[in-house]
Amino acid sequence: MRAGRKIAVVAAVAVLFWTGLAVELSRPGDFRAYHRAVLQVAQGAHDAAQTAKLAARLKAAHRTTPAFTAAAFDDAAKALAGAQKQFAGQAPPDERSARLRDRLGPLLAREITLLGDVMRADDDTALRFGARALDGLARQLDDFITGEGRAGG
Amino acid sequence: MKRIFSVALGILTAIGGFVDIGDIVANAEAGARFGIAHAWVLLVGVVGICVYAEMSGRVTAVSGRPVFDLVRERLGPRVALANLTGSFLVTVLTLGAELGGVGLAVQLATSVDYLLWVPVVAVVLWVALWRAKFSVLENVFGLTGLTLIVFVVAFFHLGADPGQLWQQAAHPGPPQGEDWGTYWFFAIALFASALTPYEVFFFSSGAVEERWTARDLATSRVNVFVGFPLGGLLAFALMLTSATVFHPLSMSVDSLSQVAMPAALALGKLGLAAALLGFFAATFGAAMETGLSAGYTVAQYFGWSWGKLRRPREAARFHTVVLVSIVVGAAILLTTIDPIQLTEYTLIFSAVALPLTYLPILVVANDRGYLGNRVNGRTANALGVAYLIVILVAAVAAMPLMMTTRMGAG
Amino acid sequence: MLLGFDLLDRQIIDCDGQPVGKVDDVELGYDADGAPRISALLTGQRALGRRIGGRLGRWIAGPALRLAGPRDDGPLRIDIAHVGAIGSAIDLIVSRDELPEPALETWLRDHLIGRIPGAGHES
Repeated sequence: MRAGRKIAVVAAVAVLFWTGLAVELSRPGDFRAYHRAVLQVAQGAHDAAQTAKLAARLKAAHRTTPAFTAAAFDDAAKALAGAQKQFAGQAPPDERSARLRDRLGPLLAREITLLGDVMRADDDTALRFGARALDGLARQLDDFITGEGRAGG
Repeated sequence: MKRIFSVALGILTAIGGFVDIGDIVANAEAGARFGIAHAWVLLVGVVGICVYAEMSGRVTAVSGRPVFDLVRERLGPRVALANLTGSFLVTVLTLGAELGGVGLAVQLATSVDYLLWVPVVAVVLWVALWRAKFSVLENVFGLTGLTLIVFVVAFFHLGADPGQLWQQAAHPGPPQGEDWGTYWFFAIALFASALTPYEVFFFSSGAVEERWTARDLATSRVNVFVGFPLGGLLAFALMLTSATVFHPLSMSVDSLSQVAMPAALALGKLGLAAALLGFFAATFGAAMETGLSAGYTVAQYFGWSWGKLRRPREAARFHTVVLVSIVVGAAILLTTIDPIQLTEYTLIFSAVALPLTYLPILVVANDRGYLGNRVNGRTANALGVAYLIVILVAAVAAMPLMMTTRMGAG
Repeated sequence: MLLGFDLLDRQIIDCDGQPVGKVDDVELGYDADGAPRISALLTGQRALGRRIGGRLGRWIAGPALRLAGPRDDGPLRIDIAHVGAIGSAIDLIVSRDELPEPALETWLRDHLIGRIPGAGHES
């Protein structure tokens, strides 16, 4: 009898927890949730741009090995892909969110091009050029994050 | 002369052996996001591991019994079994994280994906633990791990602004754009990285295998009180270089290649090579220690024969546990979980499991039945109790902080 | 002597310093005056499982019980006459070769560890 009651209590707690989780996860997104996700995407894209910039600079200065450069670019590309996936996986719930999306979208698109170019670049000039472009993009992303971070805070 | 040499070797091995994948990841991540605003945590952590490693070394040298033996004697079979389960799981997770670290370090040197290296590393690790003379391996990897000094050199080459770093260190707290929750989350990860439980199991079991007696206490203390702080200095150098290069760019670090970049920026190819070699040696050395520790804890709970100095067929159950742990550790990685993320989880779970390890040590170190007149003095007890409180608070706070900060994502 | 504090869960070591097991349980008998006294130490997962009890205990004792097979003669029993000094460990005055070997150790050695090359080498 006592064991049965114990099991019932444990089961009730488990069901309650699971229901709570389900409710939390299936709640339709609001602006706050979308805003936070967008900031995370921007931060991920920013980190990827900075990483690729540093790797390009190292390569241009002949301070790294081919294997390491490849791995560092790969890590940047993976980080960007992750951010992209998160960005594409959420639809903006309202007009305000859509405006947010429209501001970040072009930056991400540009980063894909820049990253692809710099990963392909062979000569030092192209690498330096790519690094400068990535630096500029990283700044834009950073401005986006600090501006929005304060606005949504 | 020979004595001085062996003491020096012990210190050097302790320095190189202090750093593992947890220290590498936690210090670099904290440095990038918070500058060196966590410097004090590292200091607190290093003093803590010194206090408790000294205690466990003393207990083992005087009583001849390793730590986990005493855990069961003092806590009884049921609580000790819960303790064993927790410690064993954390140790195997750590083993997986270290294997991933080795794989990533080799990937950075060869550009072959780390997942392909994981099975190879696991086999090499097992062969090393099966056949090789452990003291030699320990010394080789400990000494090679010293190449991480490259981060100290790199820091001075990077020409950081000392005033700004001092500002960060003197004003602990989150910089703009970060909150207190993430600050404390990283503080706990750093604290756990300095105090990882397997270090104590390994340290005391090694002392039993080397048949330490009360006469070896002085050597033990020198190793602990000189070796660990210097090892902590290597970890601090990782935090410093990361704070110098990444923090001004307001970027976070989430891959091993990023951690190595400051060495390449400051010192070029040679610096990069030293950094990668250091990562490899530190993680492989730690993988050996965690693999053995997994076997030690189980064997010592059940009273089986254990140890590297016995023929494997005379310690079949111990060697089976080691083998299974390595297989499980490798299998965790082959699920393609990101090794860096695995490390972060491991650190948080270690923080939760810490009190289980450290409370019994403190109790036994006060037991005259084992230690006679070598029980804890006032200082050791004051520090031990203070740290136990810190450890308990960290253990209780770890999980809630992990949830609320979403693994420090903010 | 406090049974729970000074004897139970201590490591048993044979006369050559080799580990034998833990004092997982004790066997009580009565001496000539009818006073209870410890007659033997019991060691091994089966003794431990019985002491812990419940489902967990059965789970711990399970493999050992299965390995023991039909000719079941209970957990490993060390007569109190074989016990020498009791300190931070329990020292026996016999060698562990004179005691029956734990079934799990035998099984793992014969089926796994002993079959791997190099199992007989010290390292």
